[in-house]
Amino acid sequence: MTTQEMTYREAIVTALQEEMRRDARTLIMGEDIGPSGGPFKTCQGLYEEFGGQRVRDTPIAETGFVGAALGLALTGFRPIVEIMFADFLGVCFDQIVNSIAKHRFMSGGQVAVPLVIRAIGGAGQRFGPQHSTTAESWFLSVPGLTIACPSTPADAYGMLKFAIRADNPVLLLEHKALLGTKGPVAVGRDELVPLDGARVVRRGRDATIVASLAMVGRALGAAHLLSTDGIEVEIIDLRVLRTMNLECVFESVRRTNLLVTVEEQAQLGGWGAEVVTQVVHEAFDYLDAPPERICLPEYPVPYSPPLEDGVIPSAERIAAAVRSLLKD
Amino acid sequence: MDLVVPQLSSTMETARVIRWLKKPGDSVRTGEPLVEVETDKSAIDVESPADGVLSEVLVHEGENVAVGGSLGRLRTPDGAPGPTTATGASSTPVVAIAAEPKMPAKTEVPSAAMDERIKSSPLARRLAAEAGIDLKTVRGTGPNARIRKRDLVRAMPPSDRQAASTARGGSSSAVRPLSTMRARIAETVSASRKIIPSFSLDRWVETTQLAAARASIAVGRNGERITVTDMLLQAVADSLAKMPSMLDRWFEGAPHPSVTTSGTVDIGLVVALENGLLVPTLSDLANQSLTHIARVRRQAVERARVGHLSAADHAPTSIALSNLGKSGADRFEAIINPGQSSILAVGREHERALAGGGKVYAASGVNLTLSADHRLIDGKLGADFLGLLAQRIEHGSWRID
Amino acid sequence: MTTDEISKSMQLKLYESMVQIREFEEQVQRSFLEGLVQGTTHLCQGQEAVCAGACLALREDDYVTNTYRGHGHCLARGIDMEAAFAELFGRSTGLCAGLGGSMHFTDVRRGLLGAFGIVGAGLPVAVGAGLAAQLAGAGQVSVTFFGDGAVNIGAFHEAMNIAQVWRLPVLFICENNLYGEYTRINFTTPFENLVKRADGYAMNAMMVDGNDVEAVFNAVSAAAAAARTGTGPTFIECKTYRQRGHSRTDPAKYRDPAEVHAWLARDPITLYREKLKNSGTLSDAQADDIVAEWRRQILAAAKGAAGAPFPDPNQDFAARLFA
Repeated sequence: MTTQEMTYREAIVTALQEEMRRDARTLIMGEDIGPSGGPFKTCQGLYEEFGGQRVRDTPIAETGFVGAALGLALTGFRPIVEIMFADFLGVCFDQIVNSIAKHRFMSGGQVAVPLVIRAIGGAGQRFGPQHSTTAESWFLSVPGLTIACPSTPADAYGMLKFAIRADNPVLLLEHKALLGTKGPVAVGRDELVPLDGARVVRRGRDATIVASLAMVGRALGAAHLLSTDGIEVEIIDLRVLRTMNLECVFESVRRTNLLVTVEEQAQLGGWGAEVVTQVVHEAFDYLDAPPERICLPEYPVPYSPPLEDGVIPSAERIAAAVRSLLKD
Repeated sequence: MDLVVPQLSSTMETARVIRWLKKPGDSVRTGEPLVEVETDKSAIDVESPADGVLSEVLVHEGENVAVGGSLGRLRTPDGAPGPTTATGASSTPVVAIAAEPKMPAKTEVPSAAMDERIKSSPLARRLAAEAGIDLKTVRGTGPNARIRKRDLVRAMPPSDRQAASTARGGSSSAVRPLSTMRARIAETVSASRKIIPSFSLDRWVETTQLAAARASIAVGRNGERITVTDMLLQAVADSLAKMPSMLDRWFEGAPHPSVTTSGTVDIGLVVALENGLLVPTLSDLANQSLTHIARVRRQAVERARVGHLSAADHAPTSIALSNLGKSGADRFEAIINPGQSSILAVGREHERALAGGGKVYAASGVNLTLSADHRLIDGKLGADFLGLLAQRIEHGSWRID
Repeated sequence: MTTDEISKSMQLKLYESMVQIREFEEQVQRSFLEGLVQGTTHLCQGQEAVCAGACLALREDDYVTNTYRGHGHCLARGIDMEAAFAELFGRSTGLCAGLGGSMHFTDVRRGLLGAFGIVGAGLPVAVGAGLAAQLAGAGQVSVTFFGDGAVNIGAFHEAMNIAQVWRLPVLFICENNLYGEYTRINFTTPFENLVKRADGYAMNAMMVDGNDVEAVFNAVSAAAAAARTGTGPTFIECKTYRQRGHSRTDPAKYRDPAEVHAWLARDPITLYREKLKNSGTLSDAQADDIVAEWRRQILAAAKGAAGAPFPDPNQDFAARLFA
């Protein structure tokens, strides 16, 4: 095992490479992922190394190739699908929620469905209303799906490896604004990162902030701003949406007495509601104020750059929310 | 029943009646303001505790009454005016109600009862219950006058007013919530003990040479007074520069046990305050002069004393220094601050009988006790560091400017 | 393979398979009236020739995906009838432990990868299985059954396109019974000969009389043989007819009585029984025996299933959900 500094994108490529080398039953399909290496270069070099049988460019037909992934998973293969923009998960929504998530159950447990769907989403890059969702809230209510949202290169690498080796369907929500971010990654053949739940990324004592994907970085920015006023916030990376493990959040709120969620999705239907529900349940007598949720507004992400920047929770907005919770 | 003067602040002892809003014979409802009184802080209305009729006015406009004393009497629907409460100055509304055999009218006037509902956060509710504080005596400053934890802290009676809590069943245990700072210290040291597997190493160092050097320096070029702490800081900084692995800190949040370091020689300084302590970080002390160290030390201590640390003061560091050279303890073992990997405790400067070169002699010195995180620092490393530090203190030269 | 080349033993198997399916579906109907089967069920009386003819032309290691009108294909592939009834009755001994029901008969040991309740949903899955077959290189084919209604949904088009572009060994078998649920094909599709859909994908296509079991058998055999050698997918339109309504509760009054009458006169089992009788392969008495024997077995299977326990509500459902 070595620790390497690499980007989120490189982490994805490395994980795919290692797993495809390790298991000949893995293959990856998606639009433009072959010789082009993927529009976000998340499959760079795979076609050259593994060839067109195992690294397949598909027609623009998400229902077709996501359904085909199920067929492959049922017949001894371990397919990985790349969805170019998480928004396109809407196209193959039926295959995911009605077929993939339910197939094992409907068969009475006869089959296993070892497949991974990687979808690259998120706002901030001026791609406009139909190319900017993180899709975090879209599949929350579907039993049978495992949904993870890595915010660091280390998690992007290790969670992808874990997902590929898992015998159940995993939806990995990646964020396009994180692709270029760098971080230390424990690289090695069996360096899997289990999808074990939320994790503390910054210790503090004045408030607990739970965030996911690109919002983790924004929360850390807010922490820095708050630090200058002597306010130290604890930041927790949610990491896994289904199923959530919030033990460290409960422990944190028992110390800080304040909960804030930062979500890159509209409030209604967002994962923060589940976090609040569980925290109210597990740490009721430790709450000093109603939990706050910082979310996107109730309209699609607009194109215009200042408008887009305005809707995404900023470090300043997060810091202001914490300050107003703490003020007299 | 009696209309009692409630304890509205921890310092309130008497109230003065300004104006009666009702006269004897008037019907009154629960929650209705009956009389305006003035306390040491402000003027407030005393509300009716029940439905009934104001039967008697005992304290007239312009007169004073002690907290817990009776302003007047109400006649309640079941007839009897009720027994007077005779518990004196330390009684609270809780006591008044507890002494009443009946609780008339509360169920008959739901809307008024709703106004009386105390709003408090679940946390405040729990802490109040644990501390024996009656939420009715606490003024809430949250939204909708919600009582929050900070309001409890303010409402906390001084320690000699523990009699208030004796109203709850006569228990004499004095339970009161800690101040914010003490609570934080409690959490921090508990977390440290829980998380960090620490061990300690001792070393006696002679301070003869240090004291002599200090006598001749006294004041730096910039006018700063050079203290023993400054000299210890320079010595520690020099030793850290030679043993950079002492600068490693445990890195929280990596999938694999990891360390991190800022790469610069930073030392946290434990600053004792009236009710606790703060540990600002003094940054980048490698190769610095005593003059520089004295200045940054003084400024950090001043910030700490007023409780306004800067962002730089909060910078992560691997080691802290706690100098109790003028205290009563020969030796002590400090607790490592979470996020750091060691802490150096300096005990009382005192004279000892020592042996050297086959002869017995007396010399002044201090005990150094290094507490170290064994996940990162082994015995040998810690011992080597202490040895290096001792050497530096006893025989090194001091950079003044 | 011409009619002459279908062996006598295979002819008998084809006949038996159709009879089994018919008797099974009739029993399901009765069980439904008795309240043993609940919700809804989609029966395939009248379409047995497609089920038997296609499935018996396949290898044991071929893959099959089908739809909510899927009892027939599964029976032709040899599922256990008592487990099938138990599934319909929602019992713990059901094919899918009582969790799927009529619409989701699955038996992976027999290559029955799944029956899908969303129209067209099985086609992309079949394409995936076809890709698996291609990669494995053992000559397997992936067969998917669907109705005429499915040729208008997106999943159909995406699956057909991918199968052709990647030259996958997939047989797209369309059971054109002229009705998508309650709506006749002329209201929903620009033409009635659905092989025309295949033209849009430059795919080989065949159109067969879906009530002629040997025609179906030959067509599927030929298409499968071609697929096994790597020439790619085939679309096979089988013209057939549902004798009953779309689902159990549908009396199908929307159909023209003359049309119904004409098709009922072409009952595939009756047609084949006559053909075999004329060729001296099967006498009336033998045919009657076959029917009687299947009725007996089916009744026994249904009885057995009716005595099975309901699933444990406190079972470990997570284990059914996650491997």
